Amino acid sequence: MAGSLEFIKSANTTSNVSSLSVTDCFSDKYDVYKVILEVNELSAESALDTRLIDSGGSVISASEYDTATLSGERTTFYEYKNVNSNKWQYTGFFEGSVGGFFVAYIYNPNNSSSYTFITMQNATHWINSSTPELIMRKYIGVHKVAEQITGINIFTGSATITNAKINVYGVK
Amino acid sequence: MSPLGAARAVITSSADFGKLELIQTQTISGTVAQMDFTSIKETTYDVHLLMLSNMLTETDGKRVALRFFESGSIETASVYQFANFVLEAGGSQANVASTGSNTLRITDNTGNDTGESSNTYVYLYNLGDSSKYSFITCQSSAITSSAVGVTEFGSGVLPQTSTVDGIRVLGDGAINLTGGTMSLYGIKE
Repeated sequence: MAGSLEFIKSANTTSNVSSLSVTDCFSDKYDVYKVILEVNELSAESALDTRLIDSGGSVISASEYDTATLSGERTTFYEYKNVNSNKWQYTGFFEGSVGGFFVAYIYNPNNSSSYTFITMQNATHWINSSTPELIMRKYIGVHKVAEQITGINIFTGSATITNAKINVYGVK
Repeated sequence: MSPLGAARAVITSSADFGKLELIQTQTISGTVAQMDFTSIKETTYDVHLLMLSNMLTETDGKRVALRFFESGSIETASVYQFANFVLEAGGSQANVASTGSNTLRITDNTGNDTGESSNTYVYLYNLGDSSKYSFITCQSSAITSSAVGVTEFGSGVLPQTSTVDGIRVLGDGAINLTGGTMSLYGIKE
């Protein structure tokens, strides 16, 4: 059925984990994938970063990721740019148990002769001096190695992910 | 490269295809103050998508906005937060943000001459979860009253733990709407 969104796979956690992966979700069936991350609770204030998973099932942590981001908060808007990072950094920043989410598109992950690209927008939340505060991010990124990508991994630094879900859809 | 840790957590897949499920489409006919979606299936979907196309305001240079119903009551207080970025084709740009707005801003001010309109998509998250805030992300493509193309994108939140069971599309600043088509979808897993 042309022009549809097809659910492929989901991963979720309801216990404290440091990372969450959806494996073997990218294939030759689609060129573009929609990824929705729902973060319901972290153990503490933390950034949440993203990496890709290669054809061998390993999370890619080499310095192969570029990022360009525009972020906005109550009174502050700022750019965040990073070249040759070992992750797509700051794909989210969360605190507490009131939620937050991102909607991302992943382009060409299965194509071993192409880089893999991401566009993403999120709405998340943290506590700024006891006041709930929105964080907006508009995000683009590229993984600069032409290789087959099979999955996606999100992870935190110091905190743990208490309750979250990743859904992966094919855009047909 | 590092191996996958123990945190693959619970992974599920389904032979049933997930899809974008249309909940309701409404088209503005005549002049109205607002259009409401009051059956949004908030307990079925974690994520909704609202598509607004060819939206017109009665007053030139005004914009479309959103409000939420909480358990049937419209929230009109200055409790919404948003952080958006506006970029005009003519080169100007602006940050627009508020921690005490009475609407969620989703597009820039728009012209209403022939052919002019605003067009916006909005993702909405956690509407039906009474223990969570209700978040949105949005992006619009529109044309200003000076006939310059403009995009606005950003995020918003109703920072209250409540059940959002309705969405109001309205003209910001109590101006009327005179045209547009609005479709609300649920993203099924």
